[in-house]
Amino acid sequence: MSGRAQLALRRLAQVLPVLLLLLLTVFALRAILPGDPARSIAGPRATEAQVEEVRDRLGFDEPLPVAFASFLEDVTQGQLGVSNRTHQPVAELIVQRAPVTLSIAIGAVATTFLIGIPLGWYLALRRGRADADAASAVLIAVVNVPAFWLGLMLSILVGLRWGVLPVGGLEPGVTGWIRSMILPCLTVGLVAAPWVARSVATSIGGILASDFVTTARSLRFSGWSLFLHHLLRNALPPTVTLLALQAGSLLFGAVVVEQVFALPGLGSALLEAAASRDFAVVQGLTLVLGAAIILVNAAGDVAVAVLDPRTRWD
Amino acid sequence: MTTGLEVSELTVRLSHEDGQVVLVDGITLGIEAGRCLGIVGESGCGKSLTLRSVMGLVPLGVERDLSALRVAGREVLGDGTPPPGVAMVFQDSATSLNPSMRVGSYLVRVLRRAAGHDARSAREAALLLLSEVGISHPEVHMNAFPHQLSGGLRQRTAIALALATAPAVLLCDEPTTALDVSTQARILRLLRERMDARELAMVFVSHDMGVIRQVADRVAVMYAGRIVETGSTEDVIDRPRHHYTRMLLESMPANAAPGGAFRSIPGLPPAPAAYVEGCRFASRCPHHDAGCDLPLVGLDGLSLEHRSDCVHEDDTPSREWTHARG
Ligand SMILES: Nc1ncnc2c1ncn2[C@@H]1O[C@H](COP(=O)(O)OP(=O)(O)OP(=O)(O)O)[C@@H](O)[C@H]1O
Ligand SMILES: [Mg+2]
Repeated sequence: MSGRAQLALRRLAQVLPVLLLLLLTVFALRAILPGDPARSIAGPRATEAQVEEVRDRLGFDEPLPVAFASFLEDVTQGQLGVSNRTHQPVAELIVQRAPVTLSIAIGAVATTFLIGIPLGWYLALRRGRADADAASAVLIAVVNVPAFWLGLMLSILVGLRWGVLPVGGLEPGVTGWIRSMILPCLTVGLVAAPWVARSVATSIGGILASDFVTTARSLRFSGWSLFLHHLLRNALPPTVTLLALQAGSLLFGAVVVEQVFALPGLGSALLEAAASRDFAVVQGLTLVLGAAIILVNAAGDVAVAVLDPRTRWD
Repeated sequence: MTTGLEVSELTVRLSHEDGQVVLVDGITLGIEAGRCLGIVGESGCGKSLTLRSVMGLVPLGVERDLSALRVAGREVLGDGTPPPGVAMVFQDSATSLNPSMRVGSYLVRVLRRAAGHDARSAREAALLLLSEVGISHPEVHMNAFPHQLSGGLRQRTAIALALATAPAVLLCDEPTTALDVSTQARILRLLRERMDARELAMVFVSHDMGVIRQVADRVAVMYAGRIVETGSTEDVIDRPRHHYTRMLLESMPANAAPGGAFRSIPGLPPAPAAYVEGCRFASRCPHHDAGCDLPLVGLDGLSLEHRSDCVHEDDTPSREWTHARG
């Protein structure tokens, strides 16, 4: 097992340069943002002296490496700055808003995979038969449906017409929370499900046609034992990779769909901040969302390394 | 002598949008228990498809059609699943082992399922099998994954897996190509031993005439989806009747004069879509004449024991024969 632990550590170490790149990019935002960042941080009504103070505090006058070092120091201490609009610490804002985004992302992942994986297996196992071919054709047609369109359709149908579920905002209480999450989760999840189904169908199809499955059949493996020892084991690594990749883009989908359903999540916070030039909030949110996607993908890689003996170094 | 394997009128077709291509064209072959049939022929003539069809494991898009399939005299032409008592060693051992299963647990699983061993005796049987196929540290080997093995070790693992099912018929598709001469000899000895002691019937595909001469009792020569000549190993190799067999033998490196140039058969075998009714070798044959292009009808009047499709024989009565059993 030490071989696996070592491999996991090495993979995680590979994440560091990517995270560093993310930090650099976020740090560089101050340079590409239009206008004087110190002024936009200090706010439109700030006096010249106050702007100067901000510039001083954030080290905008210091040489770039020194400024980056103090930026890094702040980030590692969880200091993501303070909103210049509400004067709320950015870290606090993120903790407040994250549950909505996380709920949508997790619900969307569940929706995508609960639909995509069984559908993918079904398509692969019944390839060449009329029903599976028809289903494939439908999938190809629906993979290009955009999330916001599906979101609107779902809100109009389920929310407005039938009136069963809220179409915007959070309802109070736990049940209200869950009810408010259903349509956003379905919107993001249903859009990604056909992609997942097709990738799963392709990888399972490849495994079914592989020489080693033919050999296993010749050795009288069939039904459950063929599925468990020869198909599933080899299907796991590609599925986990897909899961990690999708989790990243579903998180992004959650950020987008919050707007459609008027939910107070990280995505809506980001848009509000961008609209009001709330520089510290934009910086902090970009950093946290970027890091989350990088870490989810790395976790997927580590899982694959542990599952697939060919990537192991023992 | 009891029959081991009988395959009658096997046709293998590939279906695609604009029709069908016949890849294997109604061949009949068989071998007695305790004997070995060697199959030789150039690349692409249908050797692997023939064996895979007998197993009922043809690739997607390919269909097989047989009139009879008997193992030890019993009809086993069922639903297209592998017939009982038949095992196969596949051509490409690099891809034919499950990449995420250790060799030992694979072998133990096969032994427990096929031969009804319990966990402990299966492990012992697995170790024994691995040492029988010439693996020197079976305990270490049991823990390996296929990607950690050399080509030769993988081939021997594949042979051990097939033998673990205690088959009555073993189909071998070039099972020793990655082995050094002494390991190859050891495997051939082991197979011969199984044939003698357990009445194992074997079909053995190889490009190596030396190996065929060593292991096979009878030989079938395949060309473009047909068996063009068949007979005892001595008859076919020492007294070939078909021009194709003759030229194939002459092109074998072992038969070349030292320092002499290799004599290869001119041209290439036809693609399956271009298969004709008459002799398919005619276009490459220096003895080609009008008679070669007539469709084959009737039986080889000369000898079922040593049968050939070639019309150019002094003692051939007429063009009135066709593929009989091999
Ligand atoms: N999966 C497949 N799909 C389509 N055509 C195939 C398939 N497998 C084999 N063929 C065709 O069938 C013919 C016979 O192939 P086969 O693999 O049986 O040849 P072979 O005699 O075993 O050759 P080799 O000596 O190279 O192994 C070839 O023309 C090949 O192109
Ligand atoms: Mg072959």
